[in-house]
Parts: sequence; C-alpha cells; structure tokens
Amino acid sequence: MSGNGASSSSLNMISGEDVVNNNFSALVVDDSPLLRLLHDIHLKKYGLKVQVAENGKVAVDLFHLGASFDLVLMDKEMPVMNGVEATKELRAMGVTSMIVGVTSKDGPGEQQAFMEAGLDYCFEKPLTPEIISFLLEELNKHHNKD
Amino acid sequence: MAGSSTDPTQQLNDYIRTMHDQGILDDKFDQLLALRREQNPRFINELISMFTNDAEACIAEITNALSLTEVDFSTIITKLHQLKGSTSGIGGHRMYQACCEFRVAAADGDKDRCDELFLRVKEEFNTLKQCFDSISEMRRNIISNGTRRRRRRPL
Repeated sequence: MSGNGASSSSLNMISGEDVVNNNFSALVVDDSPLLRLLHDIHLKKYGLKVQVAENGKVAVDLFHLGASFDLVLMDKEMPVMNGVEATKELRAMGVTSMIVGVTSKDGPGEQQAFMEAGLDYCFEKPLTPEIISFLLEELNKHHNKD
Repeated sequence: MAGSSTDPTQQLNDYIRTMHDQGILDDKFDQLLALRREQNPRFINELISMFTNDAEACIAEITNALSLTEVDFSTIITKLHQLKGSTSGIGGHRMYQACCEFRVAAADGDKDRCDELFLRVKEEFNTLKQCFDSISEMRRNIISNGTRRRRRRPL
C-alpha cells in the first residue's frame, strides 16, 4: 500500500453510522465485471453513489462530458486506456477528485509509476472495508477543509 | 476432520476453514460471505456464477492463443490479468498464485513453461469450482433445514 503517509496502522475505522450519511460519489474504473460489482457493492454499503466504467477511456470521457466524482477507483491494467494513462489525462484536465489506484500484487516499481501518474493512494485489489472506511475518512477531511 | 459436527452450519464453517487451511480460499471469500448477509440470499451464487463464466471465457481465449503457431502472448497476458483480478476478488488463493506464475512465463515468452503452468491454472480452477459447488450444496441444506424448522413451529 502506498499513499500520502498512509500505513496500515493509520487506517482508523470510522463507525458505520458516520459513513452512511454522506453525499459522496464514486467512479469505479475496472475491466473486470466481477471487481466492478464488488467495489460497487462495498461503496454503496457506505452510502456512496456509484457509477462504473470498463476502462480508462470511458472514465475520461465521463469527465469530458461534465461528470464529477469525489472518488475514483482506478484499475491499473485495462484495455483501450490503462489506469496510468487515464490518471495522467484526468490530472491534465484539472480533475481534483481523489484518485485511488487498485492493482494486483505488482512490484514496488510498478506501483510507484502508477502513483507518479497522479494518484492519491494505491492499494491492492479488491479493496477491503477497512480501506474504504479510511478513504471516506480522508474524503470527509478534504470536504471539511473546503 | 477432528470434532466434526452434524449441525449443517457448523459443517459449512468447518469446510470453509479446511479450504483456508489448504490455501484454496483466502479471507477475501470471507469478506464476500459478510456482504452476503446484507444482500439478497442468492448474492454469493450469482457472484460465483459470474466468476465461473468469466474464468471459463478467459481460459478458452488463452487456450486459443496458446494453440497458435505464433503464440499470442499479448492476449494471454491480457486475459491472465482479467483472470487474476476476478480470482483474487472471489478469494481463490491457489488459483490466483497459479495465474501469477503463468503470467511470468507468458511475459518471458516461454511456451513450454506456459503449457505447464496453464495446466496448473486449469486444475486449480476445477478444484475451486468443486469447492464452490460443495459450499452451495451445504448452504442449500442450511436453508432447507431452516425452512423445515419454521414449518414445525406451532402457530
């Protein structure tokens, strides 16, 4: 796992009641239908409104069309446009959403390249409830700052 | 199995624990079971069905790619990525590891090693399918036992 100072010891779980009452939206970008479904279910359980996209190009096109999301879960390896390219493009467009990379067990070098594309965090897939809870905590912090 | 129980729920728990001990399943499957309680009763079966269909399609495409005179390693790697992802999501630990090893061989362009490791992936897939079939059967028994007990209760 890598991110802005994130470590397993700092993954504080917030209560279910805190996280269900939120207006956050999420975009799940993954070419695997099963992983799209799993992440969709996990995120909806925490009260987020969820959309899915099957590759990076679909995700970028959504933003071009004016869609906005608080959280983007971005798979790394996808056909048409992969997660690294999509993340670079979104950041070049000025997208400030929290973008979280989800990867298989890659080497540290590969995760680093993905982080450098503009991710806020990078975790191994599929995300666990603890990690989703942590991400919501971070979203809440950013939301309260604005 | 030491201390085996006749209680269907306990039998299911013991079976899943055995699958963990053998490395066939990992904690990601337990997380799915935890989600199941909040979803519809057929959620796990639908997920397993989705995984099985996905995996069979990937295996068919890899079989085709490996059989070509000029092996299509690029397709193999793409399909393996998909297979790894869904296997990891469903908690199929040993199958996931087999996919990872196969991916290395495919990236190296080693046809002989690919053939050997693909066989292992297919064997682990069959093992996982049998495991899921057993779990589905046990869950059906639990549900039907629960229904019979409710019917026996006096009004």
